[in-house]
Amino acid sequence: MRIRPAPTIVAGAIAAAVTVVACVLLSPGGPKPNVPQAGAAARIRPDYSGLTLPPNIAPLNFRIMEPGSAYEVRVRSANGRPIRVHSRTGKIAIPRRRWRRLLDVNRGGELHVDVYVRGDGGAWRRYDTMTSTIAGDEIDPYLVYRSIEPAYNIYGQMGLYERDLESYREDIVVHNSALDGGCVHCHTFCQNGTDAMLLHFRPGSFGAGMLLIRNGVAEKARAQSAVNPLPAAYTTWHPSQRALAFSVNHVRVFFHSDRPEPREFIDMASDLAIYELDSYSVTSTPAISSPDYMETWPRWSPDGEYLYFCRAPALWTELEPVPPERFADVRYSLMRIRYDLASGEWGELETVLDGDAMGRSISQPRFSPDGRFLVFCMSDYSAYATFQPDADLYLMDLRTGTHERLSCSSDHADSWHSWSSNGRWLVFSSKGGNGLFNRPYIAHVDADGRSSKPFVMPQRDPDFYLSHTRLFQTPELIKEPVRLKGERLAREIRSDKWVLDELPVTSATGKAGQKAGEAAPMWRSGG
Amino acid sequence: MTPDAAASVAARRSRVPVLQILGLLLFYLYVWLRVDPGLLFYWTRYGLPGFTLGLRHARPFLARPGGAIEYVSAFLFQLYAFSWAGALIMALVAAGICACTHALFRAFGGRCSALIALVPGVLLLVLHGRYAYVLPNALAVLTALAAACAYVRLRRLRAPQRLATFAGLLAATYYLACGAALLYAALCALAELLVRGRRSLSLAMAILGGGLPAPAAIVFNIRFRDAYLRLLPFHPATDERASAALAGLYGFLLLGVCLGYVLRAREAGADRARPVRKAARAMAWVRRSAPLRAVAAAVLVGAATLTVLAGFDSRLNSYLVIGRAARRGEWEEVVRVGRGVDWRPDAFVAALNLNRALCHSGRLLEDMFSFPQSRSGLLMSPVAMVGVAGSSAGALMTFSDILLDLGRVNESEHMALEAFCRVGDRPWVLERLAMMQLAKGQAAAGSIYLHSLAGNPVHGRRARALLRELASDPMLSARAELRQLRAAMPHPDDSTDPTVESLLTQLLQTNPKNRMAFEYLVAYYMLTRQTGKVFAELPRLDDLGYDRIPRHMEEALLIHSAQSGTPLDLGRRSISGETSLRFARFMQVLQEGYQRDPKGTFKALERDFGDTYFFYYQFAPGGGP
Repeated sequence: MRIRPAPTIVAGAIAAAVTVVACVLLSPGGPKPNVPQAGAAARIRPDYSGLTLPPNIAPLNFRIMEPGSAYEVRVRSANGRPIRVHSRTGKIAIPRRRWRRLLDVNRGGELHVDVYVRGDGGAWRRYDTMTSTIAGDEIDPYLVYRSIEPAYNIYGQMGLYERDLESYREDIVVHNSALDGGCVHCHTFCQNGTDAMLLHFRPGSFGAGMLLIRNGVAEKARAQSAVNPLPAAYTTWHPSQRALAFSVNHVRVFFHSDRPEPREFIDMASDLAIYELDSYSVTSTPAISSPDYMETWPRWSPDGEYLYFCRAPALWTELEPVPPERFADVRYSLMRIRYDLASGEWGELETVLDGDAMGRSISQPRFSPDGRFLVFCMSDYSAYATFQPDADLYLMDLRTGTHERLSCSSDHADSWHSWSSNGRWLVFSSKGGNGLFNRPYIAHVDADGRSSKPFVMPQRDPDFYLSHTRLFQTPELIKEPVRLKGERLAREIRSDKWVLDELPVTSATGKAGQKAGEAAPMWRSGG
Repeated sequence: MTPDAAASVAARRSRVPVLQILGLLLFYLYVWLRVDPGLLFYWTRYGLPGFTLGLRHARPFLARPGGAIEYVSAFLFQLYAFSWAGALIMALVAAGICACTHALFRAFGGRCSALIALVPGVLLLVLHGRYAYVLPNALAVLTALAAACAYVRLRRLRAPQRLATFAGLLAATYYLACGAALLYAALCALAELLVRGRRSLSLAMAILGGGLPAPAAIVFNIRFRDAYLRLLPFHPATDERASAALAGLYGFLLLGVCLGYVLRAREAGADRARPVRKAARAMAWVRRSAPLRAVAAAVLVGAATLTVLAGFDSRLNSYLVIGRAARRGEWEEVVRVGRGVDWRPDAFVAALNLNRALCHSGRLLEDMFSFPQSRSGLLMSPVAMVGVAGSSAGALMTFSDILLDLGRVNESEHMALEAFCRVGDRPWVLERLAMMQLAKGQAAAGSIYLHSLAGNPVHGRRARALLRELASDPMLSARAELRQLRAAMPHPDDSTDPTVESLLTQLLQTNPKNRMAFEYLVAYYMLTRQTGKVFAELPRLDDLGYDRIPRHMEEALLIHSAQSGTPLDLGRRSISGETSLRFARFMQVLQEGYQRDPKGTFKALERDFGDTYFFYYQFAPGGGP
């Protein structure tokens, strides 16, 4: 019996054939092997040439800025099939799976990008190959950051977002539209994990305080007490997840009349304290909450033995007009103090780096997970590097005690850095490139503490940053997605269930060496 | 149906809907010529949207119910800049709602007066006259009504099929119009209950419609409140001035279909010669009597007209006209409208614009006291500006305008950024922020704002042109306005919160030719009754090329001279005879009459000298600096 094909199948086959022929005929036609050289590297945006790349990063899509009527890019490496991308506009969108495969099989090798451009006359020319290194070390796959308008002292639409660095997926962790326009900020994770997470929220209809999430369970707490009316600000988890160190900052903003960055933040006073989660109590010591000094930016050492922080002499009182006369003289030093969480015993205060002696101000210390390196910001003055155009990132080798400027720093403010869990990647918020809008940059740090050329976090649309009028603040690398997010997280913030409305100051110690509870509370008000 | 009746129905259907077309035309003309949607576009007010084309920008909208309509509304709102286009959009939306209302009422009641179906249009006119931004809400109502109309037209379907169709339309309506889908569900449930008498189906629809937002809140990861109420009258995102009228619209639609059904049922009862109630009988009689129909129609039209006219906010209209004209640099228009404004103390934004317009047209020191004046209507320190402006983005943006005109770019940026946080990426806010970065030589930051603006399909052309210009000249050195700004910017850097006086004197130190700074400084001294300082500023007139002493300065100098008791050394300049004469007369009337008859004297002085600094100095509230 003869089988007759159904008419639809025939029609479908004809249509497919026509489509294939049309595609072949209408395709721009790639460059031939012996294309003349342009004699220079192609200008591309963002600048993704000469990098060290994580093997698990999403494709680095870019736009070729050379004039032409057609473009072709070949991405190749020693192993695996090269990727060819054609474009008529110069916008290069690299297929994600093939990109990932290519990077995966070439870990530790080089990645070459050949750029061809067809001129108006129809002749192709080839630009110099751009070569990057594919690192063997993966970057933590998620980045949580805050998105906000470039105003700082007020905000409209603000949210914490979680970006999957292996793709372009972005989820809302929490958005202030779900909080009747309140503020959310300073999300903090413990050792790049999400089993312990914290974020702060501000009024709003839902009060001001912090939300602690441990193993998926949220607790709403107010780190304020009778002696401390201001809410907690910069926070760090103790590695045991049993305590938090936090600062209380009486922050004010002022403005410059003739400086490219008009805004500036200043602490009129600040102190540190420790929130012990087992007992829901706050402890402190004059060494970290002295009225003669301003203490801020706490950070536990990875072994949990020392609390590092920045400290400057109080050159003004809280009641002085803002800005105080000597605002440009304030220089923060890097300090540390031992604290035994089990016994509540404080050690002696030590100066790690003397800001005054260097004539520079230190802020935002962050340890590499292995505890070998400490990266911090340094600027001429101030505790708020992000507003200081001269702020750069510095790396201190804790074995030798030496420090030097990281080469990934830009000529604008670089701050808000975060280490990956393997200590090989650093993400930081940089105004490099435009001077106003923070963008998240990624740099590799090798075993000797040398950083590679940084690159801006890739986006599906290579023109994304060109028109994005919001800031990327506080980028934090994490190993897994945030467990509680979106409306579920917002609901926790909106709830009126506080674990404690006001924290008791139960164990402040008067002097170094004293045990918790031996002295009357010395922790003073931050404002 | 008899052949005659069928012919009558056919004739009625084929008749051109003259009334509706006339109503639409009147609506359009009123909105275009009286309301002027362009005013809404230029209003710096929270909740009015910017727009950027592209999937990246649309995605957050499309990811939540109601977002699609909000995104479309944001696009359509950009067309409001052209008043005729904005009026057309408003009229078409209103026409759609009225047409759907008519169809629905007929489906419930069998017949519906075309005038009654125009009631939603009247409500919308009132809202437009109050400058409430209701486009997304109106589109949501239109979507719900259109879906309900589609549903009630279904014929010959069994209950399960009807329920399935209802559910499909409900899902689509909910995604597009969020909370307004509740209206759709309610109308469908009522149709099943009242028209078809299917109680269980009606109940199922009510449960489905009322219950859908709950799982949607989980699926879309949004608040329950938003899942239920977004685009409904009392959601926080709805313009609060429109809430009551929108609620009235919803009430009218729901009650209207019920009432239509009740009347039809009673008429049917009357037709079957059952005992008829008086009201139903009267209604039927009115319908049959042509003169009474005409009277009823006239009463309805009259009431609607009165409602629309009474609802028009003419004072707000004047302020918005001033605001738009100031944004466009139409200074004569600002002054013209300013003369007819009913000035109230809360109108300080309009007052700021008026003084700015007087300055730009060279009349600040000649005419400013022809208008009610207060210190807050001229200038404040930046900290005071933020405090006074509160959440008013309009005030912030106006302060930004003035500061930029003066040359205080950083302070202007501060105000504009605060406005940006409150009103979002409105086209002229983005352009302002871009120009300030360009003035400071920060081309890269400026181009980010420009690229953002370039994504606006309606207002991006100028940004695209600027970007092309930037590519060849990153400093835009050919642009005179940027050159002027760069010359005016104060040096050296000062980080203290400047007072009004220091803010202006720093500008004059940097650039003694800054005429606006000079005029504002003198005006500030006059408003704060510091006539001695006005006198001290006299030498600057030579630097700035004044051929004579401005009138109000003359008046201030006369007061200063009278107070100090000595004639002033004015150099080669002199005070005009007319001003001296008016001062003498003012003093005479004041001294002779004020003790005897304070009220009468005040009125006489206000009539004859209300436009002088003498009058302000004597009677305006407030003390010194």
